Amino acid sequence: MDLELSPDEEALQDGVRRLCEGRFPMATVRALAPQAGVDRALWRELADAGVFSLRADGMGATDAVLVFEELGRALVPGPLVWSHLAAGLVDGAATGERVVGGALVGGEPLLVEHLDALDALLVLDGDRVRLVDRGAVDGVPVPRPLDPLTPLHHVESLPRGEAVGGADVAARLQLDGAALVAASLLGIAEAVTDMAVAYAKQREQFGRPIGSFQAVKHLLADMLTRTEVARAAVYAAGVTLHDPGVGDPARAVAGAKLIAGEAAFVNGKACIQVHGGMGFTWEVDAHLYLKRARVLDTVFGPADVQAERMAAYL
Amino acid sequence: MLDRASLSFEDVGGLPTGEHVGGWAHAISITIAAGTSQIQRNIVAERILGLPKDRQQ
Repeated sequence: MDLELSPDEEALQDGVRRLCEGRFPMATVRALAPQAGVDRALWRELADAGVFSLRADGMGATDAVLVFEELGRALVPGPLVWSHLAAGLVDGAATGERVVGGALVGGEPLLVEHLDALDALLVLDGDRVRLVDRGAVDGVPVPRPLDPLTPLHHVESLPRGEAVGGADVAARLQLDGAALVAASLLGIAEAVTDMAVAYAKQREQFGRPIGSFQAVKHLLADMLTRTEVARAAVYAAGVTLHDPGVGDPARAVAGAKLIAGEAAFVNGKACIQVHGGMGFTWEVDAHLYLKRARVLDTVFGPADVQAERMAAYL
Repeated sequence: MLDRASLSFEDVGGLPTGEHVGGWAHAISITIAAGTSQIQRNIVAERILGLPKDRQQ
């Protein structure tokens, strides 16, 4: 299995990174909170860059993984994965004209993300995929969501909507969704590592940068190690989805989501730790990454479910 | 354990989960406030175990 990026893949990664740096600096990301995490003009720019349509444009899962790694790294909010999944199923999703979110049925409470920013929802309910119009969904806003950039509505029940796919589509969405969330988690694991390393080099205590203390140095080294293991798992999942001849996609994706989820979450906490008293303030971005990592763990199979799937292979 | 209910600081879906989510978030500051865990380990190692100090004078 070749996990080295080709020149085209490097160009794609670089392009999305530049787009995120230019259009989604942290001040912009934070300012999206009052509008349910989505700005329509920025959403169209993401669409124009191919974030939602890239599979239909002929690119593969390996490319999608690289794109979502960058989106995760920049903490871009919104129903990015759902709109990407909807691109081949729902008119207007690929072009960004319609913002499509989603809901995974099963398990209470049913909390729908970004509801006020949506035009429609994909509902993944066991072996069925349905499309539900936003206007048909009644939900009660969650007053204080954990992640301020992922607003939630508590929905008692969803209308039936229109059938858009059966068991094969449902299975594909579950697998692709989990892989893209894993890629976003990898991006978070990287971002918080970069942030913590930069701070440890700059912040001085006892007359030295805190990064010179072994206790801090080891925290940072562990963060890098977790990130690189997660990268291998996530890229392997992308390659395996792209070409199931090299392995079992279900196994590769379960492993990727499990490992990337842990990397993002543990690194997120370590980033706060390295920042010390600053780390748990609202102004430092560290908490936003940790909270997003928590949100992403709960979708397309949380860590315990992925661990069960991996255990079944033993 | 709380699954999606862990994404709200207030009780949701009729479950008493908010307190746990708030406690979890608060706990993250406890390994930092009043001396980080790293500083506490240095104190244990140097003052209790008598290991040599690693700080440059």
